This record gives sequence, structure tokens and C-alpha cells, in this order.
Amino acid sequence: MAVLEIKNLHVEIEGKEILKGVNLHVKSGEVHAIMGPNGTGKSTLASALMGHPKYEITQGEAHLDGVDLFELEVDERARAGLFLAMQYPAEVAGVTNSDFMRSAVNATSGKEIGLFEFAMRYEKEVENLKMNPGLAHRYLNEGFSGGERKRNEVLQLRVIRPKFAILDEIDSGLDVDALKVVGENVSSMINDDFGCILITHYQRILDHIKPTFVHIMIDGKIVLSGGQELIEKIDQNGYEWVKDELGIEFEGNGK
Amino acid sequence: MSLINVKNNTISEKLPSNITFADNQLTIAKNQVFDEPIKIVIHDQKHEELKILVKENTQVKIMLELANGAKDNNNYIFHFAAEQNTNVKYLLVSEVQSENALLEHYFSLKRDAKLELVGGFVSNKMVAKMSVDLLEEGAEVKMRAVAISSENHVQKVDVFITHKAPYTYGDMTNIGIASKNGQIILNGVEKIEAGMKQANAFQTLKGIITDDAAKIEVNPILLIDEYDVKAGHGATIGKIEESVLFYLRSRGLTLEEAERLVINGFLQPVIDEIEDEPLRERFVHLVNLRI
Repeated sequence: MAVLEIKNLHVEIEGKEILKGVNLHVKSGEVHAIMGPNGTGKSTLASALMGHPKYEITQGEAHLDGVDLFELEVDERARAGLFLAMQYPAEVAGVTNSDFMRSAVNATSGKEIGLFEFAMRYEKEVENLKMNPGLAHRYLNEGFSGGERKRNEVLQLRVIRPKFAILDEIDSGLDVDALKVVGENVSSMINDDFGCILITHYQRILDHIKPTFVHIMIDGKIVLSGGQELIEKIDQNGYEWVKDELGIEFEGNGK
Repeated sequence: MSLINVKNNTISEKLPSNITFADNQLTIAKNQVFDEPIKIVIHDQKHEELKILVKENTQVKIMLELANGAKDNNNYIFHFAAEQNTNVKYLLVSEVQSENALLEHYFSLKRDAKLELVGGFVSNKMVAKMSVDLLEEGAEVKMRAVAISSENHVQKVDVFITHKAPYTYGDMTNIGIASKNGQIILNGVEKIEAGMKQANAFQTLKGIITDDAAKIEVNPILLIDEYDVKAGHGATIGKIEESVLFYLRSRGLTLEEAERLVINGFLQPVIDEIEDEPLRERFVHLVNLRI
């Protein structure tokens, strides 16, 4: 079993503090949903943990199985077992989707996967995600629709098989059918060797991926943690009640 | 594949019946379709004579390789002419190690001749001038060139396309990649003379540096003396986008592997054209030594 531990994390971007002390303890087998209004720092948490150069860690720690993540380069974090499904994955011309994923599997597993073994794994996951098999030979994300990109992120997740995944709004912009496919494919991965942090501001994805814990993030902090009962409360009342109940002030959209 | 070695201005191989060599001119016969490419290797340090003529209605792919290992001056002048209704793919790979090389290559295309010109430049210090004259109606050239410079390499690639007839088409996409203190200058000049209506001229020049000490200069220039034309040009220079590198690295690739992958991606269209396996492997190897 693996553990991802985040303590008192403060993050700045261009001198402005976005995260103001985030604590999170995630074990494999668990799903932690992080919800909250737009602009409260959810995506910053995701990018900072993965090591995006734009984000500066000013205080706090993050450990994956005791390894200090902030001592590691981006690629070393990936090899340590961390995965980030991105909200806006980049396009890379001239690099085919399947070649890229094979390189990624080799890099993260630390050994060469055989061509045949890789092809079997890749094709099976393409089928699971109901993706167009032709995408394998297209250039990475180039000309992919929004939905294809999100599925392609989940495809990478399933092919690479990390210990922990942070899913940054993989549900945004998906139609009901795609949401179901994506949700089920993430959900079926949860086991003793895999846990995830699911960032969303919609509730629908949580019908397909049942969270173990729900955290509400407001103004750079997790202000409330609980179980699935929070989802319904947010669904019915937005986030205004959090303000009243906890006596905190925040800007942002209430619903 | 037919292999033609040029050494001391002579060719010792026996040529296929549809190719002849006389007075420094290699003539490829008319009405032929070559299934296999013709590879010409220039072994000479100086070569200012070679002419290649493709006779009418012939379809052929030519690979010209410059691979001289001498460190001092290199001089090359080549002429290529395509007659009516020919269809030619022409690949030039330049990997000379000279510290002072000059290459001039002139191309002329007659009516309805189509030339796909691909250049790969991994030389040390070279000025390469590629000049294409579109002499008659329907002549068409599509050019793609890549130059890769690393430590102490300086490569300048000047491409001129001149529209000397109406209804001609010229398109160039040239890419420079420089690492360490390598330098690249890409000049693209396309000229449409007066009266050459319905000519099309397009230019894309791109520069990628992987190091602050590397230098790339790109100059896309259109000279148009006629109203009834279509033309466009664009140029970009920069480092590989941070978001792209972050994305690739987040999947476990090191910074170096990520840069390599992106750069090889840019070069793929040129690499795909090198059908000769050993040449392709050597080109890819040389490129990867430089990035």
C-alpha cells in the first residue's frame, strides 16, 4: 500500500499566494474528491504536486511513500509513481500517440516493454475507453477533440499504471456517455495499489467514481472534509452554506 | 536502388541503361518511371561541375549525399534541370565536416514539372544557396529543409524561388534547430516577377533553440511585382514550449528525452523521405548528437 502525504502546502504563482496551507493524506485504494468554486486553487494543487515550473512552493511538504516529492524533478516524480491527468494536455506534432505512450511506459516502469506486450495492453485500453483505434497513429493530441483529449489522458493513466493519479477536471466538457466511460475506467482501477485525487467542480463524475472522502477547497485551503453526504449538500445548496456554517469569507461563484 | 559514386569528377560504376553520363552531365532518360531511388554520393572535396538533367515525362527520386570529411575548404556547385511534365523528389543531405564550405545548387523547372525538394543540413560550417527558377507555366516546387547546429556549428541556408512564368507554385517550410552555441541563419526569398499572374508563393520559417547561447535568425522575404497572385509567409523562433516539456516529463521522460522527442517530431517529415536505410540511420544519429 502506498501513501501520499501533503502537509501545510503553500504555493505562489508570480508572487501571489494561491495555496495557503493544504493538508491531505491519501492512501492507495482511496478516492479523494476535491471540490470547490472556480479559482480556489484546485488546479494549482495538481500542477504544484507534479512540479510545473510556474508554481513556487514557499512552505510545506509532500511525500510519496516517504520520498520528498519537492526534491524530485517532474520526470522523477512520474517515475516515483505520480500521474497527472491534465485539464489542457499539450499537442506534440510528429510524435505518434502510441510511440509516446510506449516511451512513457518504459520510462515509468524502468524497463523496456516488448512491442507485442505493449500493443496488446494499448489496444485493450483503447477498446475499454471506446476510442477510435486510429488515434494510435495520430500525433499526440494534435487535432484531438476536447473529449478525445480527456479520454487520451485516461488511456495514458491506464497504460502507465501509476501508484497515484491526480485527475484535474477530466470530466469538464464531456457528454453523458463519455463521462460514464471515463468514470468507469477510472473507477475500475481503484485497488490496493492505486489511489487518486479527483478534482472537479461538477458532481456528475462522482456518480461513476465513488469518493472515499470529499474535501471542499475554498481560497487555497481545504475548509471541510467529509464523506459522500457533502456531494448532495453541494448539489442542492452550492457553496454558500460553507461560508455561513464555517464563518469564513470568500469570493467566487456560489454555485 | 541505383548507387552512383562521383569521385574525381568521374563515375566508375556501370550506369543503368536509362541513365547516361557525359561532359559532367548525368542525364535521366525521358518517359521513365523509376521504382527505386537513385542515390548519388559526392566524394570530392571540390565539385563545381555536376549537372543533372531529367528528361520529359519521367518520374524519379534522387538522393544527393555530400559526405566529405576534409576540414578545410569545400566548394560545390550543382545544377539540376527538370524538363516538361516531370515529377521529381530530390533529397539533399549535407554532412560535410569542412570549417568553410560553400554549396550552390541551382534548379530549373520547365512546364508542369513538379519538384519536391527536401534538404537535411548537418554540416559544420556551411553556406548553402538553393535557387529554384520556375521557368514555365505549371512548374511547381515544394521545399522542406531542416538545419541542425550544435557546438561551434554555423550553417546558413538561403533559399530563392523565382517565379518566371504565370501559374507557377512555390512553397517552402524551413526549420532550424540550434543547441549549445550553434548558429543557423535561414533566409527564404520568393520572387514573383511582373506579369506572372496566378502565381502562388508560400513561406514558413521556424527556429527552435534549446540553449540560451544558441542563435537563429530567420528572414522570410516575399518580393512581388504582380497583383493577381496568392502569397503568404510566417516565421517563429523560440524555445520548445514549457507546457509541452512539462507534459512529456510528467509521463516520466527526462528533459533531454522530452526535447529529443519534440525535435525528432519536427524532423519526421524530412526523415520519412530518406528511403536509404543506412543514410537515414546516419542522419538521425547525427541529428541526435546535436540536440
